[in-house]
Amino acid sequence: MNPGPVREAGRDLDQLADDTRESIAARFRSSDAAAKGNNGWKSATSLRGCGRAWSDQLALLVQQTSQTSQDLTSSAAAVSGADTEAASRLDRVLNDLAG
Amino acid sequence: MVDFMALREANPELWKTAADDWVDLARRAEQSANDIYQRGVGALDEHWTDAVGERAGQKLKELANSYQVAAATIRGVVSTLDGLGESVDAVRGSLQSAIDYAHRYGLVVDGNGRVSQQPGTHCAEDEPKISQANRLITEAIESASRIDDEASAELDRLRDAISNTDLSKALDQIQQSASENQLALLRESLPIGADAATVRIWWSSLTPAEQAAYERALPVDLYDLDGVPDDVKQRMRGTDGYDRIEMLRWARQNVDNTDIDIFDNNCANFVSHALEHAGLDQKMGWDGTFGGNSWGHGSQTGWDWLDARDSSHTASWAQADAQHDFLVHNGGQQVSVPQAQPGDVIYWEQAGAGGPTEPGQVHHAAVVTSVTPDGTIHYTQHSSSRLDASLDGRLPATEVREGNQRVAIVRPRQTW
Repeated sequence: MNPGPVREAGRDLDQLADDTRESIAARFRSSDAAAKGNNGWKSATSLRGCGRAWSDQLALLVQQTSQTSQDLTSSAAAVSGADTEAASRLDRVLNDLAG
Repeated sequence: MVDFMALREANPELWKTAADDWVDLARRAEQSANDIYQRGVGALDEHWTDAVGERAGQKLKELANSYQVAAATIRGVVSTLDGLGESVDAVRGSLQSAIDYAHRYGLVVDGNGRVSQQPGTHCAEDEPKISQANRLITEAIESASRIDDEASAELDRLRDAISNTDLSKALDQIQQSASENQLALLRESLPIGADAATVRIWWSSLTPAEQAAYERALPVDLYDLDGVPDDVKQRMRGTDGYDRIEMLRWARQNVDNTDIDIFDNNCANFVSHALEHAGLDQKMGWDGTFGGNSWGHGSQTGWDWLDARDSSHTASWAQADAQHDFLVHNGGQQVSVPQAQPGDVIYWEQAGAGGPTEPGQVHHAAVVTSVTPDGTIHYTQHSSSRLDASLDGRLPATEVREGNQRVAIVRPRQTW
């Protein structure tokens, strides 16, 4: 793994999750308003149910995006850390040899 | 059952406003899918190539797919809400016309929609008018109830579709059903089955904009109504050398007809059949089907293998790219997407990289069968068979899968 670009991908996904969370939050209010403003229509009740279901579903996808972002960032950090540790060990060996 | 007051006080604009917000939701989900493919999957494919990286990439692809499935289904909600808003708007207009009719004759309409004479009066001459007004009001309420039932059932199906993870099912079944239903909802607002006199009254009660909207959205249904003026019907047939109504009727009736399937891909073949059936003459040069600037077919034997040979049809008959060029270079007019009319031909040209087709090549064709008041183009194609599919609904998924597309609308015109 090349940890730099993977870490970058993790950050991009995190930004994406934030943007999506923000942009979907207000988009269901007009459905509530439509249901409220059309009393006596079965479609009003159905739209409320449909809105709730898809609001939850999109929130779940955002949460999964956020979790995946964290997984990528952690993996990149672990590889980076391992690389740094290996480099230190090599340095020590080389120093010992030189000494 | 929708009652008189619920219809009278309905606010269809609110359905349409809600639809606009669902469009934004779909776009956001499409953007998320695109971003995950471009920035996530792409980065992992290049920079994390071991088995763990492959699993991580697979997880990202599944996430992007989930966003695409959500977007495709949400586009179905858009179609349903737009259809609901448009059809309720129309039926509420019919109800208002019925109330105006009653008031014009000095009649009273009570809070339950029942029409009577002014209290304390009795005039036998008013009875037919009372009866007519009651009938018009009842019809409007019954139409509204059918619309409500259908839209409610569709929204329930779209709610239940959150458990689906199959993108093809989301596009080809769930969204497709909603797209067809958008037209079905609007169809409920037509006076189908009414006598010619009632249709004439209904037609004249519409504004020119409302009449034009019906002509674009439901051309065949409108044309078939006895009582729609002849000059309107003549205009709908068009003056381009083929009968648009017959083209649309043929396309709708033959969307599943596999008898014409003699090629591997029959999209352009289907369009050619529809145009020929509608009266567009073949154009053949001295060299028959081999000519470059011709459109048509030779004698058909009925043996598919033989009939599919190059010498049996011109390239412009069977291939989308050649057909597009033939029509444009032989009197056809290329119009912008918002100007599309039923009876035009729609083509998909590869605009960006990433698909199976070279950029610049037209690779798919279909018949524009409706343009709904929200501006959505509905097209009918074969094969795969799709009746009144929504361009707005399907195009984003195509672009995620195959790269950017340019949509071209061509209005054929016979000049030979």
